[in-house]
Amino acid sequence: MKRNLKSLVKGVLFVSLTLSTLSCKKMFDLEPEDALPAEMAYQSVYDADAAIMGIYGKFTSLADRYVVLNELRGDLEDITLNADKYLREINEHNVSQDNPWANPKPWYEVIINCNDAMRNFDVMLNNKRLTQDEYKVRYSEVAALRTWIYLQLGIQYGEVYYVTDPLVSISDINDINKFPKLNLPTLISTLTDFAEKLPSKDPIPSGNSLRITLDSYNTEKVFINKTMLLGDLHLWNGEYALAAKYYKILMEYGSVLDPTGLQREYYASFNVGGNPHDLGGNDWFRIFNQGYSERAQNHENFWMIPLDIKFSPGNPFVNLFAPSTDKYKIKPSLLAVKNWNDQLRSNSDAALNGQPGDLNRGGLGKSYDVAAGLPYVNKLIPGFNSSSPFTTSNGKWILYRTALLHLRMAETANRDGIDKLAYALVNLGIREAYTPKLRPLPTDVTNIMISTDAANKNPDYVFYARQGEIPRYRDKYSYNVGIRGRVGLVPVTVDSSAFFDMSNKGRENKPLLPGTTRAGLTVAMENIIINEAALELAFEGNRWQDLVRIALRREKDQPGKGREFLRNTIAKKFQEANQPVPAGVEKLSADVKNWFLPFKWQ
Amino acid sequence: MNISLRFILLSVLGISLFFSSCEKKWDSHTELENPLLDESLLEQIKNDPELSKFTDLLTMTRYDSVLASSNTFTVWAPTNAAIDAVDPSYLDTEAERIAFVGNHISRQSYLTTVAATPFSKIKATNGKNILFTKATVDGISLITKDIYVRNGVLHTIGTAILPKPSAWEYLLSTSTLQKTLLNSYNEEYQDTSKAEQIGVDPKTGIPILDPTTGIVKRNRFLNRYNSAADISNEDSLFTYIVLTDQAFNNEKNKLSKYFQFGTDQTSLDSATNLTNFNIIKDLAFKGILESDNFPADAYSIGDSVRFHLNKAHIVATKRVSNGIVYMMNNISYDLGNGPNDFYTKIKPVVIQGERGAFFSPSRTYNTVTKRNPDGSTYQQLYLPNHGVNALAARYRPSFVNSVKYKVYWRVVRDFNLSVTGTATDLVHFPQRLAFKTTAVTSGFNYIAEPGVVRRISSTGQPVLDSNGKPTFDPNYSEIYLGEYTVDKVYGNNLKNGEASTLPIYLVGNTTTGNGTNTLLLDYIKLVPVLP
Repeated sequence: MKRNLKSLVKGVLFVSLTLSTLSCKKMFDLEPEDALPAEMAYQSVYDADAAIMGIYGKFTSLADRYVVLNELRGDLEDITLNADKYLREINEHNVSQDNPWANPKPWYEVIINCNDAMRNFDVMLNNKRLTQDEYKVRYSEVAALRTWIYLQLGIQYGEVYYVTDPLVSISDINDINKFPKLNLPTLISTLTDFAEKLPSKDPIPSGNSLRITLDSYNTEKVFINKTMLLGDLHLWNGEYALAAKYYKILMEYGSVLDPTGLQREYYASFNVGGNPHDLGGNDWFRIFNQGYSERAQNHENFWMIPLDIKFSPGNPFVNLFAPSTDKYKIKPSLLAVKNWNDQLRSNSDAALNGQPGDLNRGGLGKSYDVAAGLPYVNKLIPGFNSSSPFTTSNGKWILYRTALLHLRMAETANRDGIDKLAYALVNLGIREAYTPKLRPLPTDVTNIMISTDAANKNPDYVFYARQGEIPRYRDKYSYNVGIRGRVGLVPVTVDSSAFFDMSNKGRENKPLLPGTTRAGLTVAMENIIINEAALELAFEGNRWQDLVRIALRREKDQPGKGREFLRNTIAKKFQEANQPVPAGVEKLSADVKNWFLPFKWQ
Repeated sequence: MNISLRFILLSVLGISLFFSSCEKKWDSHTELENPLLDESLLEQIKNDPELSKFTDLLTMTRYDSVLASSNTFTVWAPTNAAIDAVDPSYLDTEAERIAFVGNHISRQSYLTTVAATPFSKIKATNGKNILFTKATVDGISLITKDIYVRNGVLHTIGTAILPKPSAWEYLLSTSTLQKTLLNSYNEEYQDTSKAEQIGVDPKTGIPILDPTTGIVKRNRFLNRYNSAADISNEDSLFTYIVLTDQAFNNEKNKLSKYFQFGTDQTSLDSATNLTNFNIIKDLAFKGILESDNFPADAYSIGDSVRFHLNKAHIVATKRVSNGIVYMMNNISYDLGNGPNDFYTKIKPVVIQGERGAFFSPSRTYNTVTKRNPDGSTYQQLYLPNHGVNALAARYRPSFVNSVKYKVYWRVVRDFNLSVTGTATDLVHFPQRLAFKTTAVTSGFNYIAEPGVVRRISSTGQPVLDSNGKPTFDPNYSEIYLGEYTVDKVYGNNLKNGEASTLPIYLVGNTTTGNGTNTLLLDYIKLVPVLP
């Protein structure tokens, strides 16, 4: 009996042991039923599309960060009494390590997603799950977006860790120091090399499965414009002719969309101006207040993301800018408002010409508005009504638009020595600038109204703007009316007598004064361009980047000049508001390092 | 046995001590520590023999029932000695007694601990404000203070708080021309919210009111003309001037010539009324201006006339409940002081070109906003190419005195200032001013080159451009045009409304060609010529 029991125990143990070694191989290794494991996520082209949409969804949550860092640090926005200490730090250029706005982590979360998607696209191509064409479009899309984010990081932090490894999760880069740290010039040249090698630089072609209607929004303009990105990278790099090449491609893109040229507003809006019933004058604000899908604004904006309160992150601009007591943390600076009020309007009647006030861009209800006596940013939340927030909060995050393109083209042309083209694009258009001022006109007018002269033979800077009556003749750039012309302002000019010998009145291209160089003229024209950007692009998130780019350039030309330029530009915001210039702003003139945020992983 | 007895005794003692130590803790918790809290204010006052005369007054004025009510009050009760010392004229009539007693009582409880620094302004039940500090009320020391009873607080005082008249009441107590005049603005009207409804109009459904009810008196001058200077308002602080009859007549003689209508009796009466009104409209000042320390310039409420008050002219001084009143036998103020001083009795008149211009035949004009050289902005009327020979813009200034005016205009032409082509001069657009009708007013002929000045070198030679043509600059200054004597007072508040205004015309050139007959005007300014 005893023996029996003992042997039974032994037997059971033996059987269990045997069973355990023989157990079904995946009895407990269950697949989750409500989540997709990483290696199963990329099965077909539609999975690839879903990954891209997911990345853009994540990317959208950077909108408020992008605008706060690029505008509140600039000279066009100021904080209100509602602002917390962190926004105050951003405003005063005195950012502490724990400031959540300065946390680089959210940017890297998108970067990690991009890295992962790009690696998986490679795998899918190898496994023949993607065709070469499908791969080209999708890989380039994600790579371009990652490049744009790195450029932003570089602008904000000066030195960034360049992470391209396909890591599994964000937690793996907590030890970020093991990655290479690139300074801004190295980063930009690295990014430029990378972007130049992208398999596709074109917009996503129509018919592609990425171009769909998602949540009632057409996705065409959601994707980054790679041509613009490349132009910008070259502009940051100081490669002006290369930048112009890409900008020119984009300015001509209207002709690609509409080769007949009959749909004038296509390229005319890419030309800025064009159809006066479209976006000119009082209709300029349509760029911002029209819905995401409406036609006129679609001719101007070419990278924009819908902000719909039905989907995360909703419209983050409402909380920062909306004029109600619990929101309203950031407001337009007095300097920005004064700048609009100082502009002079043009009129064909000489007596009415030169009345002050940029009403179309800086009048009430346009870029800014006033509620209960307090100015607020209207451009980012047009139509918002605090009494019906659920129907008026939808908006758009506009990243690239045509006026920005034209101002960037003007900037690069000016630095390439073609200041006349820069003048034309900023002021009243190419036709006006390249029509001889001396009357009567020459008998042979074949070669007027074309932006070419002895100084300018580069085809990327040549625009045809001819307009004749007998026979009737219209070049497509004849519709270009310039950034200021579109909103009915008088042109701004450099004081020619400071640079040119004005004694011969009849002469078109006047000689430089002895002892002067074009460098001074270039800086003077650049000041006009940057001020026009303040009027046209205020609050959209371009200001600080533009200022840093120009300051870096001037600092390179002549050490000290760039720091002085940046410090003076920002200090003016406080001086205009009768506030002392904060110490953090004064420090901008001490060292270029002070221009950047502290890189602190939070 | 001894021990056990001791034990029992000790036990009994201990038990009895135990029970005796039992206090009525709960009772003391809710007990009224202050027996006064059971008494009403009236009882408390009645119980104090020192306040018997005040008690009598309370009974006489039926304030006793008020104080016995469940509302809370503060009473500053004067002692018998204090009431004895009061001039009997304050207690002659029922109304005076009510005012007197009411001045010692206020709704709500005010302990001295709540009195603010320098003082709390507390409204007494008679509508006057009394000033309460931690130790005094209206400057009278409190004898006993903070007696807190069931429905309020009692303080006692050794001197009665005599009700002070307001500036308005004080004025009514005088026998001056000024009083008679202000009294003449009294009127009665029916307040429909207070009137009794006696039926409904069957056709319109509008209520029919008993015409004898709801009649309210008011003073038109105080209520309508200048409510900021309503000297009957107890809650403001004024310095108010009452003129002696002689001073009033002096003012009348001095001012009447600027308010003339004509020579017939009606016109003379109107002139007298308007002069009188213009004397009394500027006699109130904000705050209390101490006579020892008059500011060099004091600006009257309303029309902001600059006064130079002089202590030597004060005949009598009276502190009133809402400020201070000076009876004065002379006043000094700025009658007129050049083209840019508007703080005067007879003010310059400015007619803005872009405001209210009327054209016949009708035309729409532009309002042009431009910058002055100093950066400030101005707006002007601009009407080109209207195609009418001698088109006139009519303006109606809201008030013009019967006085001789110097006439200026400002016209800024900042456009088309270079001579082009074969022309030897600019295309000018002559303009002139005209009064009453568009026909030429004597002394106001066409100005040939309005709005521009020719550039002149330091040697007095015209500055020519490279083509030998004259050069011009915009004229940003006021240009003197001539003198115009207004025969009588004009204004849109007068009897015939707009028909009583003085029409002033800006008349364009006698051509119809575009560019030659433009109308351009920043403003016209009429500056009174005064002795």
